[in-house]
Amino acid sequence: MEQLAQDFYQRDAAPPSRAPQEAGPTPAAVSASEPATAVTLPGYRPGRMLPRVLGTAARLGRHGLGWVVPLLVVGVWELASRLGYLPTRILPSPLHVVTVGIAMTLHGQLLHHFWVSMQRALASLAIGGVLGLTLGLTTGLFRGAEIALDSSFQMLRTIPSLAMIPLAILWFGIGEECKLFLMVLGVFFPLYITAFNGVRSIDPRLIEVGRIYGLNRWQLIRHALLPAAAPHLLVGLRLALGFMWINLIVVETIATDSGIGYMVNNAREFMQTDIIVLGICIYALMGKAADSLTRLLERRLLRWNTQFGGM
Amino acid sequence: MASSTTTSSTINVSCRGVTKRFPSRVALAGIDLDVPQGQALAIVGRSGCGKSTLLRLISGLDTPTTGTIAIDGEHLRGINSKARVMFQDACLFPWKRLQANVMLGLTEYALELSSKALERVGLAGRAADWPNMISGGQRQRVSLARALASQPELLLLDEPLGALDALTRLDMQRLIESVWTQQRFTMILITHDVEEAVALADRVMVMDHGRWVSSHDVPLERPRDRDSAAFIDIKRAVLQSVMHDGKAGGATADIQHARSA
Repeated sequence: MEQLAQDFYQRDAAPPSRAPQEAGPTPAAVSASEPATAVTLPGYRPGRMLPRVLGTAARLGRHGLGWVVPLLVVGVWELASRLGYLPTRILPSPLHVVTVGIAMTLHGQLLHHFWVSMQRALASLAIGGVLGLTLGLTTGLFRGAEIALDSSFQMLRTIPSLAMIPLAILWFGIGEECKLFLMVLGVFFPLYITAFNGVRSIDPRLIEVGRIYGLNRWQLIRHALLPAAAPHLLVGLRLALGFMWINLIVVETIATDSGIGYMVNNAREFMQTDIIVLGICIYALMGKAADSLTRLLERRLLRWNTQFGGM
Repeated sequence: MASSTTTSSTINVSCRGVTKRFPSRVALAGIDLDVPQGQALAIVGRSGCGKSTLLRLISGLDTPTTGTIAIDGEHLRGINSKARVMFQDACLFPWKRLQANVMLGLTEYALELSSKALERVGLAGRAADWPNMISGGQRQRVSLARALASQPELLLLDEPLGALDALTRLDMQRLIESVWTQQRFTMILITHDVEEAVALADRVMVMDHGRWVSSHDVPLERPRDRDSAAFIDIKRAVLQSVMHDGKAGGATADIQHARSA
């Protein structure tokens, strides 16, 4: 027990590197014993080991449970194909799609299309992200910029970006610029709006505290406004990624000779349902991967932010 | 009323004819105030009487409509860099660990000073915690540590204990008194708790409708015995002054006294 107490003390003395939410019962336990124990034995909180282990197990279980339904659907689908209820012309079996995927990967063409789509996605994310962030933060931070720019952006925001396709084709032709333009639109507005609202969401008293404690303008932005905007920005990023995928899929069907969208469209002309389904699955996996990445980012950046986790 | 306590010669905070008008109301109607170096002054009054407005003016967060405020003889412009403020809400930055919160605004020896301040309020072991992991009372301790870390000349407390439960409030009052006794900064405490004012302050001033109503010296030994006759007498006098809205006799004399203090 003595050694255990020592261990707890050691661990808590160093800045904890893990999420604070894991220490479930801590706040209540501590406030109950406040203030005497807080002074004498700062880090020692008995009975924390078991909740931690249980918590980790429960979390793993939850993550595993999330896969149950998708796997079940795929299983039923495979079974239906095998038993002949689903003709391959309508929907090929999952196993068949995987085989085609492996074959196309070995052939090299799948990777080529995948890489072209990824490049489009990354380029539009970079351009739209930088533009949306800078302009959103600028209008959020400075009244003058807000008056000058915000109402224009709010008006443009209401136009669905895909409604711009005819104009984009006339302006940029049917090359990469046109695709990039439409995808950047999809990325820009969610980030612009969440950056603006994020900056404005800060508790004004925190700004006053910052001013009293001698922070200058730049320090206020760095220590108060940007961290306050971070949760909103991450929501914006997820929205932006969603719009980006939609626009990617649409622009890749306009007129192209490469990309997953082209691959799928091409397959349609030859009734290759297996390649169509493969393309759709790749889009789904890319979307899921992007979403998981932002969730990871959220957990890293927002460790201070304990949220309601659902009932 | 007892004679004026021994006051050091230097005046820390000096207000002359300070008024503050808002579009819909007059918050301060010509306030004079001198706070000597190292004095603990409490300002009591009903809510909306203008006491918090005065504190905001002294902190430099707002500017007076007319009149002047001088800190150490210097006309106050912009933020009062010699003052630290503690609000009713701890106002910690939720995205900073406790230690980083206390380090706010420190430029030199930030780590040492913040550690010392956290230790002073009994939270040294929680330095790496996030603000939402600790209780309201602990958060207010961190807020106090943050205010003390830079060893300010002037501490402004705007109902800092108003949101705490009675026991935690007593604890905090003891903590504030012991810190003040050690460091002897000038302290202006805004409160609506008359007992708290009499327990902590050298002088209690009563405000109503943006004017001074009375001023009461508290020449009692610290730490103060709240059950002693002298304590209760002063408490009753202050309370009467608060309740009677300044219509009680002797108020004018008290105002004169306040100005000359």
